[in-house]
This record gives sequence, C-alpha cells and structure tokens, in this order.
Amino acid sequence: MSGYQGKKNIPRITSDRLLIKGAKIVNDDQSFQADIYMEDGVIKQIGDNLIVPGGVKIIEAHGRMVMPGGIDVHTRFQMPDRGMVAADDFYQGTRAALAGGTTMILDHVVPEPGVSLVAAFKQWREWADSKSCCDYSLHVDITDWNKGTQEDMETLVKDHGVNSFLVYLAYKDVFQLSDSQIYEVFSVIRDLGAIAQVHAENGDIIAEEQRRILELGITGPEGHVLSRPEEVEAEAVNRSVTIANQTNCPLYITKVMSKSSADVIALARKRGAVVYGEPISASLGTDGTHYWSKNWAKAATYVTSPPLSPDPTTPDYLNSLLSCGDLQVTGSAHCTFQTSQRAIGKDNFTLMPEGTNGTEERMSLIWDKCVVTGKMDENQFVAVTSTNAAKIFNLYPRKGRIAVGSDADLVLWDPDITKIISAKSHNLAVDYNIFEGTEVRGGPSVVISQGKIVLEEGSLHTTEGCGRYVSRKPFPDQVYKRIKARSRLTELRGVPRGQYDGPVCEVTATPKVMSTVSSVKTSPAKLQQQQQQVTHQPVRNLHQSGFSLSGAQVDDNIPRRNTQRIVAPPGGKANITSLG
Amino acid sequence: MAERVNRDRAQDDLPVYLARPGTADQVPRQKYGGLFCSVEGAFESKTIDFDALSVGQRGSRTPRTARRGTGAGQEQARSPASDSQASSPGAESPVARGRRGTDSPQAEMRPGGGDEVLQTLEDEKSDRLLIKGGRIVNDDQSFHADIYMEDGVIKQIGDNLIVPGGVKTIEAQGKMVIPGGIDIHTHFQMPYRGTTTVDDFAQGSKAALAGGTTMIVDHVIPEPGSSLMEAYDQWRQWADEKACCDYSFHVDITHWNDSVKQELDHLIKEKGVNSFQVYMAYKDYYQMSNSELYEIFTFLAERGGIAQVHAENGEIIAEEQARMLQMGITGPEGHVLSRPEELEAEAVFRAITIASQTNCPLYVTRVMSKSAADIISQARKKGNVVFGEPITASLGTDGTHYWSKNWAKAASFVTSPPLSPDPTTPDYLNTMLSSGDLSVTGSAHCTFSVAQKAIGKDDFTQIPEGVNGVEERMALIWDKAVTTGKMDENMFVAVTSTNAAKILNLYPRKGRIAVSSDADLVIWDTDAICTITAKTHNSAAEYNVFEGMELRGAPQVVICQGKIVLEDGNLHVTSGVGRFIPCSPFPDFAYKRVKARKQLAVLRAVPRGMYDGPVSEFSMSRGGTPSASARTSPTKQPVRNLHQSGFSLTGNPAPCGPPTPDDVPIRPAGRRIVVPPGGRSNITSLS
Repeated sequence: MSGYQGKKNIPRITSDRLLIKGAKIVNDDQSFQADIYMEDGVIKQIGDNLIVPGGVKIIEAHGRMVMPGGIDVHTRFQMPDRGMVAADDFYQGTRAALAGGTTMILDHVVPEPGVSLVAAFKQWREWADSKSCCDYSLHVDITDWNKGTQEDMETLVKDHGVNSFLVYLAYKDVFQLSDSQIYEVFSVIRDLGAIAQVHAENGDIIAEEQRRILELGITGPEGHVLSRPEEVEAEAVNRSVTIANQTNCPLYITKVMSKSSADVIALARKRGAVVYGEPISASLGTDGTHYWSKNWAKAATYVTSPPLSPDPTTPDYLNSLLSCGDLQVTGSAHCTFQTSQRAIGKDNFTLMPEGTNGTEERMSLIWDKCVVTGKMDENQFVAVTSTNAAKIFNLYPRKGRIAVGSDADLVLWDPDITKIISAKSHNLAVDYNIFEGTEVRGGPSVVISQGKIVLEEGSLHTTEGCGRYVSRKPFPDQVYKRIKARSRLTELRGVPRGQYDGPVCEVTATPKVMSTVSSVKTSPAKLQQQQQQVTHQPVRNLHQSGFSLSGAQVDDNIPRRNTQRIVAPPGGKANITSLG
Repeated sequence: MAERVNRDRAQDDLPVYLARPGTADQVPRQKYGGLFCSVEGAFESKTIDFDALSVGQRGSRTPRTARRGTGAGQEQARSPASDSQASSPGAESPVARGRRGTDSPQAEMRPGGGDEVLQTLEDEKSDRLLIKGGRIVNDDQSFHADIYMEDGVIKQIGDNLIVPGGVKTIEAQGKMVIPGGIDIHTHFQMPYRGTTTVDDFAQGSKAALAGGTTMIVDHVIPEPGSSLMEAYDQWRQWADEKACCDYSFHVDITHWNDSVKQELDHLIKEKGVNSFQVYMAYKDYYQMSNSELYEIFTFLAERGGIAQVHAENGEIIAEEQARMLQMGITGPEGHVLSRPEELEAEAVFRAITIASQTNCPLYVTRVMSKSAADIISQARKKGNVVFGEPITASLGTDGTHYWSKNWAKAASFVTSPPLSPDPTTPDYLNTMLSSGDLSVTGSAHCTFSVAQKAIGKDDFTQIPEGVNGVEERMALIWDKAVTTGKMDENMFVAVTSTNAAKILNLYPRKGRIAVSSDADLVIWDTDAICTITAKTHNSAAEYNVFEGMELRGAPQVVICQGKIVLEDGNLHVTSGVGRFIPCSPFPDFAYKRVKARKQLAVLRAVPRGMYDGPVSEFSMSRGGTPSASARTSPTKQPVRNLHQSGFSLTGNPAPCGPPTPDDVPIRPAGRRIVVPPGGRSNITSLS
C-alpha cells in the first residue's frame, strides 16, 4: 500500500478511493470507532491509523455513525400495469433510494401470466441495467403455474442468480394461484433452495367483497379498504404459513400492513415456523384513515394492496414488532402512479393501479419511529434496514455489513437532521407523497454507493446505468440451516404390517375421487399415482373372488357384522383381522 | 315417608360435587361462561301454573310448592294423604301414588296399582308417566321436583302433582333427571360407493337411545350434481321407516349453483332444515372454493341458516396424500400423516374469516385437534359468532392407534379430520368444552365394517371414513369432564343437549325439562360403571374405538317420546316411531347477535365531487385488479365500458398485450396532459 504514496501523477479519481476518518461504525452486532478505506467499490481496510495511498478523498465523520447502506427489499420501479408504467422508473426510483440512504434495491419482476419467467426477467434486467443508479437484484413473481414455469425457475436460480419468488394469494383470475399450486410452487422453491414470498390476501373473498361494495354504490378509494379488511390479510398469512410448514419451505410475507397479520407471523415464529415478515414504509409511517379523504386524488394516492389499516395505532404496533424481532426486514413496496393514472379508477376503485411511495423515506421513517422513540437501538436499526435483508437473500456479508471485503455501500447517518417530508422536495416523479407533512428526525448526510459519493451536502450525484445486477446464490444459510435440519427430521415411515387378507367389501365401478387428483397439467407424478391405483384393481378382484363361500344369504339385507359370518376363511384366519 | 327417606339417602350417596348442602333450593348455578348465561325465561317454569295444565285439575292457583329436602315440614305436609281428591290444592295435596317406596336405592318403576281409586284407569301405561323424586337438571339449575308426562309431552313439574290414576311411576330416588341427549352429528345409513354404513337408522338410533341420546341430527349428503330435495326425501324415507327416536337433518351442500339456491330456500322455508354443511376438504368432490363459501354463507345469513363446515384444507391434503403414496405409505397411518392438524386449524381460520365477512353464524363440525379448538376459542374472544363441535372420538381417544400393527384396528380409527396423534388432545378438548369455548358435542357416528374399511387396504385414501360414538357420547363426557371436576352437571346438560337444541332452534321443546317440552328424559346414574367393548355395544360395527375404556356414569332409565325405552338394562325400542322435528330458521341463539351486527355494519361511501382531472389510457388486455368469476358479476363489464368511451382525449390508445419496451412511455403518461379540457378542478389538486 505504501508504494502508492509516491506516485503523485496518478490522476485524482476522487471518488474511487475514499477514506472515512473518525467514524463510529455501526453494524448489526456492535458499534465501534474506526477509519474505513475503500477502493474500487470495495472496503479494503478498517482500523485506526490506516496506511492509504495519497490523493485519497477523505471524509471526516467526526464521530458520527457510519452504517451499511440500506437495502430496500421490495420495490416496483417502472412496473407495467395494463399498458401504463409506474411513474418512477429505475433511474428516478434508485435516485430517490440513494437520497434516502438506500444503496441497494430488490425489484420485483412481474411477468404477464403466460409470459416466460426468463423472458420477463431479461426484460427487467434490460430496463434496470440501462437506468439503475445503484446495485440491484430482482425477485421474480410467479403469476402462472405450469410445467414451463418450473423449468424457468430452475434456470433463474442456476443461471441468473435469483433466489426468491413471489406468489400471489390475491388478484383473482389474474395472478392468483390456488392452494395446490402454491403447495407445488413451494415444494419446487424448497428443492431449489430459494425463498418463497407471498402477497397475502384472500383474493376470492376480496373479489366477492368488491362486487358487494360496488353494488352498494361505493366507488371511491374507501371501497378499496372496505373490500380488503385486515382479517382477509391475516387469513391469507395464516394459510401460507400452513402451506409453507407442510412443504418445509421458508416463507417471506411481503407487505405486512395490519396488526392481525403481524400477530399471525409472530405466533407462527413462536411455534417455530421459518417465516419472515416485511412491513413497508407506508405501513410503518401512516395509516388508512386517508382513504376517507374528501379529496379524491389524495385518497387515491394511498391505494395499495393490502391496504393501509384504518386503525391509527397500526404503525406504532408494527414498529414495536419490528423492534422486538417479530418482523425482520423492511421494504418500501415503492410503486407510484400519477393521479391521472389512478383516475382510471375514478368511477370504480377496483380499476385503480395500486402502490405507494416510500423508498426515499424508509430509513428516516424507521429511525424516527423506532430509534428516536427508544424502541430499538442503532444496531437493530441496521439489522432491519439492511443486514437481515442481506442475510435472508444471501447477499451477506457482501452487503449489509461494514467489513473488509464488503461492498463500499455506506451511509453517514446524521441523527440530528430534521426534515419535513413533502412532495415538493422529494426525488420522485409524482406530485404527491403519502407522508406529506410528516416531520422525521435523522437522515443520511453522506451516501456512498459502489465506493462513490452520491449524496453530499444535500446534493445528489447519481449516474444513470451504473447499477450492477447482484446475483444471489440459493440456500442462504440464515434460512436454510434450519430447513435442512427439519427435512432430515421429518422423514415419514409407514408401519410394517402383514397383508390384510380379510374380507373386502365390493365397491361400485365409479370411484369416488375424493383423493388426489390435482391439476393435470402440473404434476406428472400424479399420473403415476393414478396408475398405481389402477394396478390395485386386479389385486382387489383376486381377493374378492375368494369369498363366495357364504353365498347369498337370506339375511344379506340385514346389516349384521359381516365378519362374523365368515368365521373361517379359506387358508385359515389371519391374525391381522382379529380384534385386539 | 319411606320415599322421603330414600331420597335423602340417595342424596347422601351422591358424590360431593353434586350434593347441595341441606337444601335443594332453586339456586341459580354458579358457573357462568359468557355463552351460558341463563337464557330468557329460564327461571319461569319453576312456578307451577296449574291453570296451564291440561290434566283435568281446575281452580287451584297455588303458591310455589313447598320445598323438598327440608325434612320435617315437608313430611308433615304430606301426611294427610287423600288419594281421591283430585281437585285439592296442589301445594298441600299429597300425591300418594308410589308411596310404598322400597328400600332399594335403585329407581323403580311401578304401574299404577289396583288400590288407586282414580277415575282414569288406562291400559297404556307408558303413555302417562310420573317420575317421582328426581333431581331435575337443566342447563341453568338443578332442583328437586316430580315430573308428569302424557302423550310424549311434559305436563307438570312440581311437588305433589295431581295426576290421573293408572299412571306408571318411576321412583327416581333422588337421582338426576336430565333432558335426553341430542347427538347433533350422525351419519346413519350413509351410502358410500355402493355400500352403506353398517348402522342404519334403526341400529343407530337404538344405540343412541341406549346411551341416553333421545334425538339425533343426521347429515343428508346429496351426490354432487344431484338434487338436494331428492336426497332430503330419500333420507326422510329411510329415517321415517326406521328411526327409533326423534331426528332432524342437516343438509350438506356438495355443489353450488342457482338451482341449489332455490332448493336451499325451499328446504329452509318448507322442510324444516336450518343448518347446512359445506366441505372445505375432499378436493374435486365435495370441496367448495372460497368464493363459493362466501356466496353460500351470504345466502345462509340472509335466510337465517347456520353454516356448518367440515374444516380441512382439501387442496393441501390432496398434495400430501399423493406424497405419502409416493413414499410407499399406504396404511392408515398415512391418513393422519397426510392430514396434519395444522391443515384443520388453517381451514377453521379461513372459515371464520369468511363467516365474519359475511356475518353468518358458523358451526365447525368435528373439532379434532388442539390447534383448531384454539382458533375457535380465539375467534370467540374476538367476538365472532362461531360454535365448535368436538365429537365423541376426539373427546375420548387419540390418534396413536393409527400406528397399530393390526390393520383392521388402525383402520377403524380412520375419520376426517383424523384423531390427533397428540395424546393430550382429548383432555384439552374436554377442558375447552367445559370452559364454553366449544359449545356442543356430536358423535359423527359413521361406522363401517372391517370388510368395508378394507376397500382401502392398499391405499389409505380409499378407506371409508368414520368412527362410532353415538352410544358412548354421554357417558364419555360425564366420565371425562364431570367426574374429573371440569364441568358441573348443568354444563353437562348444556353441552350434550341444550346448546344443540338452541342452535337448531328446537329449544325449549328439546333440551330442557320444562312444562310442555317433549318428554325426552334420562335418569342418569352417576355411579354406574361400565366398560365399553365391541362385544356388548349396540352398533353393528366389529370395532369400537373406545374398546376397553371404563366409564363412570350411565343412563339408568331413558324415556323417549314419553315412553320408557331403557330400563334395567333392557332396551325396548320400536323402529319407525321417530318423528322428524323441523327446525325453523333464525335461531335466537345465533341470530340475535348477527342481527345486531347487521345493523351496525352498514357501509357508506364518501360523498365527493366528480373527479374531472386527466385520466390515463390503459389497455384492457389484463385486469390488473381482480374481477370476480364471470357468473357472479354481470355488473362489472358495462360500467367499465361506459367509462372507457368517455376518455379518448389522450389520443391513440395503448396497444393491447404485454407491453414491449417501445410501448412503454419513458415519462409518466399523465404529465403530458397539463391542462385538461374544461379546466383543472380542485379535486385533483393536493391539499
């Protein structure tokens, strides 16, 4: 290292080599004082009195906190919806993320039903690569389930670094999958070592409620929340936890919006289920009372699914659960639409495109609601905004930690900044902000992404298209250590018994298909099994043939104990049918 | 006199938890769960209004009868016996019949002797019955009184009743007289793939009577696609021919369409059915989707029906069954492995959510596991109108037997949801039943012979499902819950009879000992001990899931429709005497609360001006929002079309189909329309 010191003629690429002096490094496990030196976007040294090359840009932290850059686990930038596109594209969106101290986003790929996952994934890659200002990765939503989907998932996991897939329990007839499909998806996900995410709402009930509410003449945004009561969210969370437990698949609930669904998650965790909950900026920062605003445009901006809870104590409750570890990660579910786009649903709330902003406000909001109020400490703050996400999605320790060899995505956090959130000053393309007027304490003073300073003294210096796609490996330790142990434990064994050779009742030819015939297109294994059942038939017939000895009896119509009549079957009485 | 002595003795014989110190005063019972607060009118029948009696007495308006069990005063009141004075005032008039008490502590039956000099001497002795010296146990209180019944109806309750001569008298000797049990869930004579359960209505109701159950409610199961009415008529025919006790029906909804709706309407209004079961399990056969459940519940809530659910997640079960069979597990243990209790709990949770959305009273049949019971209990705490029904099998035994090496034994336990392999489950469910978190008990009696079960000898999914329990139900609950001190005798009556009657809207005709209630009574012997075994039971099945269990408490005398059907251990049943008891809709027990909620839950829209700002174009290629299934929502389409036609101002509509990069505007579309025609209205501006 010291060899560099003489070479004065090296061009000063200020932002490529950076030294942060006198910082208090905050990781999720501890905080300590040290300097940080980074080069080429990677942290090279941490310690006191570092030996660094000359011409290095130095940031004096003056004892302020330096923490790993935030990871926003849930964004939907540039999301297409019925020919429209979300107002914030990858450029605008990641810019806003950086402004708020988030240095990595995980966006959702939403393939149209029928479109191949890989094709959609490539499409999103193309959009993001050309525009994104910070590192990103992609979740892929499973909007359709067939044989090709399974192959696509394998390809994505093996070749494209995707390790999380989202399924929808809502959006009936569009994205929604049935319970059996979800069971199959989860089984595949578990085998691939990925993480199952769910959008948890009962789409069937919602469809019915929507119809009812429209019939009642309620067409405004309040209909949105009335048709999606929080019970319906909790029900779907409960159901997906059950299915995930059955399939021994790790589960991740996106958008925890209500107390009851958070409770269901907390309860499931207490029972030992591998389940993670993600509240979003909106549910942590505001509530659903605005749906009743007289101003249609304002009410419409809050429309998202699951909806914000009308219960004003919800944000506080969710912040508490986040602080105590019952909820683990935070996203923003950032998906913004212009008022004119929302106005598609001006006469019918069900047509309204859904989504709220929050990627920029996420870090500050959580700091203000949780750390300032004493619910959590700075380490826990790092955990919920960054480290936990990195662990769950297998980015750790490259992301989510300040350590030698980690990416140089850092935030110099100023706990004393106060700021009033407003649509006038935010970095979004839309002209409203659901947190309008909220005063938050704490904010990033310097943001470093990929070793470059992108926010300094309130000014953003972002470069469109410099964001890299970060691929994620399957089987994240944080999640799969437990899953693996369980799958070893839960091996099932049959009871070894002799063949039953007692009398068998005759059944009519039309079999009652109460057993297992699920969607034909999905599981070739099922066919096998049906064939198996068919092959049972001869066995049974053979067997029946042995019992004509008692012949037709006068009292055949009287349902007496059948076996008593056959006291001595040919070949002797097997002990398997005897009582005892 | 002797009788008096006997009664006192009998009371001394009572276990401590039943004895009331010194008096049999009409004390309201001590235990109140929210559900079991005394009902309206619960305290009325204690005063005997002789005017209301139709036995021929006249005039005598009496004060409350002198209290029994207070010793000397009572005896004094009885001494001036005058048998022939039928019209003398009730309170002071002694009743001489059966005064020749024996010294035996056993209840005793005696026909009216020749020394009785009353005017009416009839031969049909069992048509008129007098129970003397019983301790009447209702769900709200217990008290000592005599009961006189005639024509299958209780005519008088009180002390020193004036009854016609020639009445058969049963000396209860202070033993408990309880309303006959109502088994709210049976499957007698159920067809299954061409065979029929071994217990038909005759055999089944006989077993029921032997166990102290005087009414059964059977499930009518129409084949999917076939008419509900036809199935109902079929079941009526079967039951009318054979049933030995009164019965009523639940009807299972196995498919859903408009004609089913009409049939439901007919069944509720004309046929006396008020409870309907839907299945969340049995995929591709009985199973209903969530939307169908929603529609059915909505419909039932309007018509005053009770929605019953068989709660298990059928889709997951189907997947798990396939997995088990693939793994080579084909025995009965596969049945329980493929139906873990979580799936039951999940379905219960879902059913409660849907019921709460539709404001429909929910009744969960067959609560088999702790977790399902917990969910019901939680929902009740949150205020949902939901009732849980544990069955005899889940209260009495557990699912460890599925691993029995004896295939036939293991198979006899197969029922759905399965018995929980957790051996602490029965105890837990009994506790929940005692605390009022679970409300009623059934038996889900549905028995198959070993040969029938053997249909599934190579594939557990083919094993016909069902366990016995109709005969053991009362004794089992007494043994598990009352003798252990979890519940008292009143609660026992509530969970075995009264609550069921209330839910079915049969109360107080059934489920209560009161004047003008049906004469379905049981004299309960708390000390009897019997061992359950398939050798002696009245079911036709070869196995009994409670085999070898020793139970304390048994019916000593069972009276059904005013006739003695069980005495001295002898059953005298008559096939075909059972009447169909119609249930009327809107039972107060469930619907009082539901009605109140309905009034509260009116939704209102926010009055706003018309939005007249810019509106983006969007393609209809994909409904980004859920639209209900086409058959349910004819309303949506026109609305949307109207809407589209008004907004061509932004120019060429976006092409249909999945957007390609070219279609995607880089800038938000809305920005282009800064000044819409007609000016910008303040409704779009931000406040």
